[in-house]
Amino acid sequence: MDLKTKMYIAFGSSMKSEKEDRAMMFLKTVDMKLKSVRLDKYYSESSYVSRFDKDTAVYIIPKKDATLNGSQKWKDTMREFVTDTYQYLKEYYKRENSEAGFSADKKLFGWEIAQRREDRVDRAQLTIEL
Amino acid sequence: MLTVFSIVSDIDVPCRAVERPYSDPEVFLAIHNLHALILRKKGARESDATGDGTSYSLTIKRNYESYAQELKDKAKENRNDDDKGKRSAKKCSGLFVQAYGP
Repeated sequence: MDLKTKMYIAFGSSMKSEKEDRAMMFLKTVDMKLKSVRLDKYYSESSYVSRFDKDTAVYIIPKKDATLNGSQKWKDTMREFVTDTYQYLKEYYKRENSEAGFSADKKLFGWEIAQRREDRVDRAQLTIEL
Repeated sequence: MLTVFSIVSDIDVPCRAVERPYSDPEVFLAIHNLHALILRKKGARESDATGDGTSYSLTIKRNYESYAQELKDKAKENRNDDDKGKRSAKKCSGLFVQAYGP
């Protein structure tokens, strides 16, 4: 979700896990440059952070057992978290906009998707997102 | 929404007829392009973004009739057990679901 326009930039659905990266694949098809991105603890992995461009600032809360092993981007992200924690958290908590967006969608369009086939589930979701 | 559309336009469209194009790749392409155009029009070239995941239930996967039958069967079992004097709190709740269920 774009924080300025409150529009969804990319979207992906999966029957297994949200980590399947369909949203990232979608993002590549849209002409958009990410200046910064905020993600929850579920994505708190070096490999995931490395998927973003070098210029993209990633705001993420490290997991309990997080290490510095991984890419330079991951190390830089962790350094920023430690050195300027207040500013970092201030940016990170803008993430609540996503939660609010999902909540509004569900209230407006319902908590369920009345489709059986996986492709139709995806398209129905895409339409809601649009 | 479909009901409102039918009343306003006088065109009777079954919901299945609307759902079928969901499988059409061209429809997906059209929606995708519309999405890209809206983003461009909003001037969102560079973005401060936030991301998250949420889950939706796919209730249609559970067939209503078989689900209702399942509840009825469970209630029957509980009733039989009650006759034998084996009543328990858990079984009572099963009967409750049957009484007020769909």
